[in-house]
Amino acid sequence: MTEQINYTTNPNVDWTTPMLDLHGVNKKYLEGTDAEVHAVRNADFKVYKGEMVALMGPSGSGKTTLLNLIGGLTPATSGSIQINDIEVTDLNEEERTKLRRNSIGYIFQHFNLLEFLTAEQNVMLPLLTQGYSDAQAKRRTTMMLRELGLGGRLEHFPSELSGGQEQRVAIGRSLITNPAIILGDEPTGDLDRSAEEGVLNMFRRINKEKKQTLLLVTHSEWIGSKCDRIIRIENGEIVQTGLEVTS
Amino acid sequence: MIALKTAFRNVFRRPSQNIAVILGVALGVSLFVGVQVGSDSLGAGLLELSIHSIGERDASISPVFTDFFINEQILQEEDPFSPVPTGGTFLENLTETDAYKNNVAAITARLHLRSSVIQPETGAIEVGKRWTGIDPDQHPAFGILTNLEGQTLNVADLEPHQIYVGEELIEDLFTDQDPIGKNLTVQSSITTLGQPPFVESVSVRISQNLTIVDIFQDEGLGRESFSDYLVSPLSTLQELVYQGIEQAKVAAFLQGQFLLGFGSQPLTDVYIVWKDGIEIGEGSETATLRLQIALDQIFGDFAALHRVSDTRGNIVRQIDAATEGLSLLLNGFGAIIILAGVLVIINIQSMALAARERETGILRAVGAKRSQIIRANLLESVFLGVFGSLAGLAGGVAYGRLLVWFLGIAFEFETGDIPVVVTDETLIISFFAGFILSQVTGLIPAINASRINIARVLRGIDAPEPEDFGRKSLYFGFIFTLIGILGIFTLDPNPLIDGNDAFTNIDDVQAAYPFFIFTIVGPALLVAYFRNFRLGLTVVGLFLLGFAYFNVFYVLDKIEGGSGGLSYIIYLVASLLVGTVILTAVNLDAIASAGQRITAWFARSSTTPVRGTTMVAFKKMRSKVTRSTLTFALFATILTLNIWIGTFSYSFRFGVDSQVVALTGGSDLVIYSPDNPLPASIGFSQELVDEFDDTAREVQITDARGFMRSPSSLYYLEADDPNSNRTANSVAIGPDSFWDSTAQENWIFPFDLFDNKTETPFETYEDQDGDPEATFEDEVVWKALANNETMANTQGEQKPILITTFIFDFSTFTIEKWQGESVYLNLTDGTLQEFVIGSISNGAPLSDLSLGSNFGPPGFSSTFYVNEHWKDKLLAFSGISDNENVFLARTNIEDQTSSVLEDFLIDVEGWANAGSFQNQFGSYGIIGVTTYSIYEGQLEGQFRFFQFLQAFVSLGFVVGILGLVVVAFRSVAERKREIGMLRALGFRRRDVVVSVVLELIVMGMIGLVIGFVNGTVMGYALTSVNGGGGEVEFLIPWGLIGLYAAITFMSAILSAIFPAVRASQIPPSDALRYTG
Ligand SMILES: Nc1ncnc2c1ncn2[C@@H]1O[C@H](COP(=O)(O)OP(=O)(O)OP(=O)(O)O)[C@@H](O)[C@H]1O
Ligand SMILES: [Mg+2]
Repeated sequence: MTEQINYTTNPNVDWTTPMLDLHGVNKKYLEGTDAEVHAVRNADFKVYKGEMVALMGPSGSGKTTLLNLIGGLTPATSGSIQINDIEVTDLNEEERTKLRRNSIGYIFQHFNLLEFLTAEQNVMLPLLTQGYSDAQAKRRTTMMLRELGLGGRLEHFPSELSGGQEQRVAIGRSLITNPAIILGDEPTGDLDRSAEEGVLNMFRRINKEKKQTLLLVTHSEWIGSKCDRIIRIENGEIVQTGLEVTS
Repeated sequence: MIALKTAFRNVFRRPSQNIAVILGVALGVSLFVGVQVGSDSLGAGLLELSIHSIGERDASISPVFTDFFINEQILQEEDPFSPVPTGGTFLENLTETDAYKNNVAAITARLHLRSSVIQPETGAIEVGKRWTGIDPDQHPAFGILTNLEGQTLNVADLEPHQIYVGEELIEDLFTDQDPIGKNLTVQSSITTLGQPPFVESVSVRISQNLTIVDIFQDEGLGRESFSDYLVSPLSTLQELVYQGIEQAKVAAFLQGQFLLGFGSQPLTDVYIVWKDGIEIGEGSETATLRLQIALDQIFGDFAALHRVSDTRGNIVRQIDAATEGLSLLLNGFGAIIILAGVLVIINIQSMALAARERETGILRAVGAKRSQIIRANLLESVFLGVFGSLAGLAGGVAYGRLLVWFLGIAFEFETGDIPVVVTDETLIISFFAGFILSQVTGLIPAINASRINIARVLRGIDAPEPEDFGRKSLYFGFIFTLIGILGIFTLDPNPLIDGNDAFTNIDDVQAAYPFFIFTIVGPALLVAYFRNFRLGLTVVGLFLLGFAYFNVFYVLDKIEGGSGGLSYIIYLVASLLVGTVILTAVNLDAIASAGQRITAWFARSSTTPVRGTTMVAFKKMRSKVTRSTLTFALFATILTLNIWIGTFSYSFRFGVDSQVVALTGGSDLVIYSPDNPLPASIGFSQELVDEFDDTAREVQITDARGFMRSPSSLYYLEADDPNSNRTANSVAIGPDSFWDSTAQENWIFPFDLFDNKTETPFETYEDQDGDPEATFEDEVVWKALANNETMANTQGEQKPILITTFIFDFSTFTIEKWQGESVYLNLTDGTLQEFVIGSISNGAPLSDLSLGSNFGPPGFSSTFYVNEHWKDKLLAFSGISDNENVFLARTNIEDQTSSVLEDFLIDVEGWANAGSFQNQFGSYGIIGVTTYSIYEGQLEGQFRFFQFLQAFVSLGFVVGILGLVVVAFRSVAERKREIGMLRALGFRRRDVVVSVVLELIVMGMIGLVIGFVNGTVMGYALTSVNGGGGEVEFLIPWGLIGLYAAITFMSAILSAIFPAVRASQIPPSDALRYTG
């Protein structure tokens, strides 16, 4: 018997379109050696368009690995991963890059920003790689950072920002290209409760306004409770998808 | 103990980083050793080469006047008219002296006749060759001849009309035929000299047909280098000379001239080998002196005519002096390349340090004491320093070998001839220099790092902490300012008091330079303290540049003399380099933005991620100011050096047209009789020209003028000291002697006069109508001379004009006469004629360009230019009354370097020497040379040297590329995480590669721009100084600069591409996990 999550209350979810579809995904590190780690075992789950899902599990359970697999940053040992009906494992390097550039926004667990770029330049970067002109990119960036409450920090370098501000800049960067799916690896890890709440509200808002899909790794049950549902992973195995029907 | 273990563990734990440090130190030490080995070996090589050319001889006894045979006073008691040479007396007497017994191991006599050698079939002629008589019983120390098959040749086997000829001379005279059995015509002149000044000498010419019996090779075994000699038995030559002198005596007797003391056995050279135990240097000097004294005692007034010279000792001294300058120069340029090497080391060390800082932070955070950290760093650093320096010694010896090999090529040594000299001092000094350098660049920053802000480091922030220069800059600023100002006050001459005049001697300027640098850096440090660091730097940069430019464009023009200057030149380059590098570094931000904007503009319509890539590259560049600066400074240094030497040598090689024109009076060809006079009539020149000037030829002589030149010395007195008798050559100048002399407005006076017009009394010169000449030009004086005008002497009396080259006293090293002073020349009627020096000439083709050994080295003896009116009235010191003619010809060929001219002259020589000329004038052959080849021949040594320098400094590129490889590898390694992030953000692999490569290319190009600006400025400076007042046109070798740009570009790409590609291939998830 499993708890039913209040995802039904989220009107943005398009249940006919799985944004993310994992099927029998395995990831082994150092395969064939004594130190082999089976970091992800037979993962099987879907995330639908417009969902905001938490991915939770103990440290070392394979959360970051799973996000990396989805983003095509590391190849899967076996199984199928589809984003928006595109089979990631079939893509070549170039196509995966294109997919990341256009469809995925990333927020990393640690060291999120390029130190030699200002807050503004960090956020602009994905737009520039998409071919936007400097002026257009600047305009959108300024708006975004203002929304994130960083209007006065445009010219600051990461070393001149607080941990929470850095994280907000990173979030801004992941959102700036309006990606179909946002992958966040403990996006609020370094933040205090009130900052955490602010960020979470923002996620909620973009989820609502732009119908973006979010997959957020977190250790915080509180954040988990604010998401549509929680996917739980333990020792590489998905032990709960949050969609199980109560028996 | 624990610290030691930690240190060693660290060494192996950070292999790539520490290997880089070791390599860096090794590189620096290698350069240092290599330059030392190179310059030491060059000295040794030159010495070997020179020693080789004198054979095993240590010393010689030779006549004071090398062109003359000396009548031997020892033989005076014998009958001077005896038909049989007596022989041997001189040597016998000599061997009886104690001095000989004590010092000399071997002795033999040589007789040399300076000769022209003609190949009768083709008319090819070689002049100034030695026909040498050697003793068949020669002492083995003086060499044995071997033929090309390696068989020993003995001169005793030769009949009087047979001869052995050296390999090189054969190659010059015969193109394809087998020379053995062929004849050569050999012409020599013999001049006997009485005791000056009251006895005249007599000269005769002898001409022989000799059959070539065999060809001997130059074995290069330390024997005398004979390869362009003719060799006969000593007795054959003695006989010949004796007969010649007899003829001369008869001729002189018939003319009623007074003769005195002709010996029958003239000797030109006695070769001596010292006994073992006499060391070259002080030992050989003493032995020489003793021998001279002993000879004087036996032979009476011997010293007046003979000189014992410490031949080998002199060569050693000369080579030492010559290589001192050369090794200074090599060390100077080497220092700049080593500086580039040091930049590489600092680069490596600072990267290694960045990695260590984090670790230090953690250690400090967990409670490690600073002393513990320092100890661990110290041991590791010492280990790396020792290891790197040792590796550097090995590398340096290899690099030295390479340099020596290159020297061999540049100076056309046979490779085996240059020994590779590696001294203990070189090794020891280099080792410690490398060790200290590694500690200064590695350890000191590491110790500073232990003071770091732990929190910052642990957060992984490597943006530079604003440095606290604090009181240090206050103290140093104050001290430097003080040193500078006090220093400037103590200067003598002083620019504050003496104004511009302080800048006339390069040694003074050189001495002053450092003090000015102190007064620049000192106040700038104060600015840094009271205002801010950046402003301080800007001030230093601006002032250094300003001062350097002031020197290049103003002071260098003022400099007239002095001996040194190398340090000054190095100061200049250093100021330019440091100035430009500082200013660029301070403005790197603006430069990067500009660069980014420019690339963005080019990519404005592109939809690729190029804008992202360029932003990353440029922002990265400006965020790592120190590293970027080190990198572009490296290239700036190397390129400055290369472009500087490149422009300078290029200008000197190709920008000399005007100089050649000045030296040759615009003539293309010089045609002259090498050893013998031509009939002395100016009109003859036209005759000659008509003969050559075959209209079917490409070359047409458009104009030709002859000069009469007395080949022997003119006897003259100085006005202020009637007892000081001197000799000079004379050249007669008439109105026809110069181009276009009839159309006065078109006169070209090619021979420029010494530029010291303030000292000339020429304002008092009046032209023919008595009007004072308003303008003072070179032409005025030459015209006055050509027209036989007069000018006032110091007493105001009008006297004939004379133009002279410098009348130089070699014993006091002073110029004895200036314009307006008088010189008295002996006339044939026994009276003295006063001449006023109208001007001093820098020289003319005839004295400046040495046409074979006949004309002697430039500036060595003075030449008087007198009007041709005086030519026959002057009493020549020599018995030769004929004058020698030299013809300068202008042609229709524009390009002085054209080979057409050379071909033409071969025809002229052939025509003249093979028949018609001899038939017509009964004379002995003429030589034709292009004036450009004379110029080229004079400067060939310089050109070669430039070539070597260019090759030497271009080795700097190796250092540069190594530096870039290091920077690229380390920067990519440091950036792995960053690269992972970029990939996650949607950078393609190639975008990553482009951004890394672009960063290095931009830095290379900044270096190129700085190098170009500084290099051409320095090239200009050196060209204008060495070109002697703008005679060398300053040219920029665009091709070469393009090549350097391409090399820079390629090295940036090549050194970055491999690490960048490798890093881009790491799966992004792994790269993201990388923490350095
Ligand atoms: N590149 C790798 N090579 C070998 N093992 C790896 C690698 N990356 C991760 N692992 C291992 O895979 C397992 C899962 O790691 P992962 O980083 O995905 O954990 P996580 O759930 O994100 O933990 P945390 O909450 O601490 O961030 C761990 O046991 C880890 O040691
Ligand atoms: Mg994780």
